[in-house]
Amino acid sequence: MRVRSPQDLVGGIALILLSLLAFSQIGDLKFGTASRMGPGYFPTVLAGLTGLMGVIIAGRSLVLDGPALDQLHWRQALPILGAILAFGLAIRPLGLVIASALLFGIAAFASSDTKWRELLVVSAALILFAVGLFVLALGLPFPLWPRF
Amino acid sequence: MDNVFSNLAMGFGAAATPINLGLCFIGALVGTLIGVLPGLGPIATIAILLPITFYLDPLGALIMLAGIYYGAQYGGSTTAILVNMPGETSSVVTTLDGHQMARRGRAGPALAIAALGSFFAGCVATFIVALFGPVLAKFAQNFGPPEYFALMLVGLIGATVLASGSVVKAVAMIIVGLLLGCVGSDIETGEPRMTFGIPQIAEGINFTTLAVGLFGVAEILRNLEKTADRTVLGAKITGLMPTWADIKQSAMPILRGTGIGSVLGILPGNGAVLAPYASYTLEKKISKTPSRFGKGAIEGVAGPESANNAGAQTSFIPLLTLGIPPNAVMAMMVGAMTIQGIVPGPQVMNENPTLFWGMIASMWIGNAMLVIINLPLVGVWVRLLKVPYRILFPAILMFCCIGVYSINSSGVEVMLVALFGGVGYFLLKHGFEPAPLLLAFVLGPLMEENLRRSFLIARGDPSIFVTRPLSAGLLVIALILIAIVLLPSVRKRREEVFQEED
Repeated sequence: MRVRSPQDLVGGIALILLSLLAFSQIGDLKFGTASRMGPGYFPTVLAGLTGLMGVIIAGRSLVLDGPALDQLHWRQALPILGAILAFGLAIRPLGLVIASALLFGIAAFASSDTKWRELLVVSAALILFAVGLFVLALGLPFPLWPRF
Repeated sequence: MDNVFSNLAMGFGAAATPINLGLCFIGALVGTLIGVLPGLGPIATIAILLPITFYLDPLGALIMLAGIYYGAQYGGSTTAILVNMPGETSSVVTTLDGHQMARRGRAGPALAIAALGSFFAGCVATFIVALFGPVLAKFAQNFGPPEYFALMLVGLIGATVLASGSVVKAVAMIIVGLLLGCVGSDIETGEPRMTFGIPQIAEGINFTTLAVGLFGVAEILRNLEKTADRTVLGAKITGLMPTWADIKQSAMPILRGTGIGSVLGILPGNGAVLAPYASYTLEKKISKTPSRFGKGAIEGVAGPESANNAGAQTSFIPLLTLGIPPNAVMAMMVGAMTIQGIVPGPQVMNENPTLFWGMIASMWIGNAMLVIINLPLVGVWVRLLKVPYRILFPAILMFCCIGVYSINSSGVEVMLVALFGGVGYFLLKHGFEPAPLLLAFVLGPLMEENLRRSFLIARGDPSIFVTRPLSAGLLVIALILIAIVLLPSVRKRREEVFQEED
């Protein structure tokens, strides 16, 4: 047994896991009958189909040739996703200015050619622009600074 | 016919207010901008701007978003011709002959023909929308739940037939999209479904959050991987005017491209992406000198560029008349309409005629603006390509975060973007297309509602779907589509077409 399409194998396994996750959440939602579908009907059928597709795609990977696994670039992915998480966590207590500064600071690690002085200028300009557009012009209710 | 003109006149009245003209211009400008910049597509851009549209009136919001979509079709060709890099997937074909023309010092005529062809196609397609929209909407008013369910089924199956890449994987993405659409409270009982106890998704996963993550963030990640620098063709663009011979050579390809694009745009799947391929293949096939193609044949620019713009335009027809988005960009428009409290469907035209006709009129205005934005300002756009990505991506990232936060003033919502961004990156890395997922996510709740209603009407008898002629007809179409995908010869041909894309 040889894996011919590693991408499909991983993708198929991910679909199976997603299907299990969905089933665990559906729990005891009423399934109902075809004529009177309960809230669980559609999700159960779809979660089952997701699992089935996972099995098909993973199974296919043993038969059909496909591309090798693409390298995941964690050096780029982690700072970007981390920057978004940081913004989400910081916006409420710390305000837009600090949350954006955090976003830029963390995201900068994703790029290999970051010039820190340039980043400082660009960040400052973008924060000014954002405050001007979203808070002053559009009047969105954003906290600008930390609230204690 | 008279009606069409009086309705269009009303539309122009609504679209030509200073504010709406301004929004149309902003949309066209932003569309050109992201069309020129590789790695920022219309789906991501509309997703990012969606929250802002909440503060506009419905017509203005839709005018601006539509402008972004067809504007991107113009902008994409500029990069394709000058840099040999398609700014949009819909302008991949333009690189073949467009860039060759530029290399032979004929960048000007290539750009001009691309813009003029797009403009002509845009005008014709706008008129087609105005002409066929009302007919189709009237037809759709007879639709009951079974018909809607069957129609959406056709739409989803069509999306897999016309999707690039593996059919099996596209089907998987559609099922996952439908599954994600189930998250939230049940439409009848209000019971929470698959919400993981997170209050922010108790009412369902927010469309914008999902779209920004899957498209916006995932695209940033993909672009950061590619370190290849962009080399802008150094040669000066001298003389935009095409010669008389150029125009004569391009006239018929433009006409044919417009026709192909208009038809493919209405069909489910991404017409604006598929149409240029079809047009290019046709032009090459009927040309007396096919050997010129790939070496700077102007027909290879004129046809596809007209086709993608026509397709972009007519893909509004299913959305405006049936309320069913044929592709992911139109799914975004459904999101925009929902934000404004408008339920897309045939009733929009009667209940909200200024919205319907105003939007159609704005398409023509937008197309006229685009010729002006693109031709004389081409130098500006080229210079823009020199802005390094390390400056661009923090700005895009910030807009993503602020936009999503502003929907519900919720930090958790922003964190979900990171989750979906990670998911989008995973999909990208394993050969899954996110577009069918988004389409299914929008259609999922509608499909469930209509299916449950159908069974209620029929008291649980599934034969309701085949005894009603309209829904039976639609189901036959769905079956034919499935048969087409499974047909070996079509499969081979399909693989060939998408192979050229890579």
